[in-house]
Amino acid sequence: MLTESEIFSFAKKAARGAGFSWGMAEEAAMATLNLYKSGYDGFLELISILENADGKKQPLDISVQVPCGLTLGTYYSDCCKKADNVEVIGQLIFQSLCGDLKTKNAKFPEDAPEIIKKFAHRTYVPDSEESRLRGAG
Amino acid sequence: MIPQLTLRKPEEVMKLSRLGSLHQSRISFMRVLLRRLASENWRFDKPNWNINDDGFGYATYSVHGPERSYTLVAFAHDLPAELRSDRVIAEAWDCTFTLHDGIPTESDIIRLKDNVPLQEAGRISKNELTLSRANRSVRLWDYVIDSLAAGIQPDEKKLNEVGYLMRTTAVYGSGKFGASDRSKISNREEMRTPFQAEMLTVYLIRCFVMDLVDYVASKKGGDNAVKLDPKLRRSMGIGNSTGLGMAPFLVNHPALLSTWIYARETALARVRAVKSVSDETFMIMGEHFKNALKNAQCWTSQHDIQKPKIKIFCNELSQVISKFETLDKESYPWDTLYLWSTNNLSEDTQEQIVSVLFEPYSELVDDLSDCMYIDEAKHFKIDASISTDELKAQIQENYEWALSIDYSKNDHQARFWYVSESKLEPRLGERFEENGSELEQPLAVARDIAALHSALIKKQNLGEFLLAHPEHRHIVRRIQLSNKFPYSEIRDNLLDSKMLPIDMLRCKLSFFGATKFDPRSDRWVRICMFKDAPFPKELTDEDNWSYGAQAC
Repeated sequence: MLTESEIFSFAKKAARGAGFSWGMAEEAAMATLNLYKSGYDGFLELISILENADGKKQPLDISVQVPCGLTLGTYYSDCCKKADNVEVIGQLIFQSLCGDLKTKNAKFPEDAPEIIKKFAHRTYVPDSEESRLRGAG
Repeated sequence: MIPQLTLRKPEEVMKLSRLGSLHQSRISFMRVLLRRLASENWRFDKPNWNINDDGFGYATYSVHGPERSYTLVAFAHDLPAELRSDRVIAEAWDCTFTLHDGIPTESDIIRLKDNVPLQEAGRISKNELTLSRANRSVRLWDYVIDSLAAGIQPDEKKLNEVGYLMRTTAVYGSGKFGASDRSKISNREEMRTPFQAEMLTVYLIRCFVMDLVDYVASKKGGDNAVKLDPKLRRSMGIGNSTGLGMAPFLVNHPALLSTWIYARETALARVRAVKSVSDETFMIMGEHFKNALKNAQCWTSQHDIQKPKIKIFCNELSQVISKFETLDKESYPWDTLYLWSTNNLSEDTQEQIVSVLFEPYSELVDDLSDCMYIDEAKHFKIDASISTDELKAQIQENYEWALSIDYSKNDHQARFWYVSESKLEPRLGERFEENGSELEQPLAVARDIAALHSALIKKQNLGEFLLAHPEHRHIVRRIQLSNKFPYSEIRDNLLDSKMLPIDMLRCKLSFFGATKFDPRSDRWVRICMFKDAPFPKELTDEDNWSYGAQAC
């Protein structure tokens, strides 16, 4: 079973790998962890957000018909707005960010889905002989 | 309310050169641990010793406190010399360890045997608190065993040049590789001070290693063999080889760092406020300074940066001892000594004085170790209700040091911090010479502060600004933390060509309680832990072991 810190770390790296800024990646990680603590499949929710964002220019436009739940949810959270009935991608992440989530018993995943690992992997610098010799001293 | 003088300012304390000059003290985590083990009469036993005549197998060491037990499960392996490496990218070690939460069952042992030797490639569970490994000191291991097996004690000087028989190359905790999250144990009295599980792991590793060396020598030498002399045994710590992995920790945990420094600064402010000192306390303090000098004279390093620093340090400590004799016991002697040091001595010696000043004052200092932990999640949320003008004012208030750097100069952006895909090893690259800087980690605090400051052009609500400019979000969070936590930020440019990562390593390691800092490069340091510390049967309420003076 993954630990809280592993869920946070995977989610943060994956969000960054999908093109979100580091600060937004932190929000994604906190929301994903919060979903697991509240009994939901956080990575499943996050995947829809990352796949939607992948390849798009940041910041994402929140005026589109179905906006990104991470971007809109963070904005709502910043402005202390409650989640309304707006349709977003990643509905539960949106609700988590807005503090509007019904909690169930926490259930943590056994591992991170491959797609999350693939996004996270994009934040790593490929290994090379030069890097091995110089980078770590 | 304990009287105290004004705290030193963050702009003075949080410079990398000063943080890289810190020394262990009464509030260091390993000393906090041993004080607790002694005062609460923790019980120790060794329920399993399944080690063969060559020294390979497994053993368990349990400790029992008032409410819980913890067990070190230690595995000793037959490691070919060519595989012995301190790097994160190593895949095999002389010994591997985990700290189990409680008493492991037989099935726990079987599970751990399958996983702990693999380290990062294996998996532990929420019933384990740490994962660690250690390699032998090539300089000492065979020498000590051969000596003891032949019935001869090893040379004291030779032992103390190294200071340990094994060195750990990682001690993972806090949710890593399946281990229990910090949040699951932080409400336990004995785990509230940070890194107590890690320190307990290393303390028990030391017990295991010293038992192992005696055992292997006895099997090799038979009736001729002797055990290591108790005085020599006590002088041996556990080494640690630490690379860049530790450096980002201080930057990634700004609120926590602030609590550590705040505790240290408060301790100093309290001791400086002591007006008159009894003859006895004065004499005890003098002994501590003399022991600190003897200790310093045993500190060796082959590194070009460290060698001259140690020489100056020893010379200056001699000056401190002379100055000490002139102090007026009735008129703030410690404040006088401290202020004199700031005008006359290097930062290394100033900070040694700070640590030594704590020694006779358990009643002024020890309670501060309870204030060195924080629930970081509680401070995660950004207050986006303020205006960008208010944010700008906060930057100007706390980050003038970051705004004054010219980032158009290559030297000031020379480095980038990154994570390699090879075992996710943290590394430091040269921005203008190597590939990968587009993947740099968010550790460029000073540069990112300046970039945010330049972007704050018009007055608007911070939430609106962050919606349009999410690239500044991580740094806004830091700024808001720095308003609440004055010592949260290292006030130097971590991208600068002259920046020394070992300064960050030393800062963190000094809070652990490490000694004998021996840099092997600008980003890799060897240290010693629990050197001169009492073994379980020697524990007393007297926390006076850390300046144990050895021959050298």
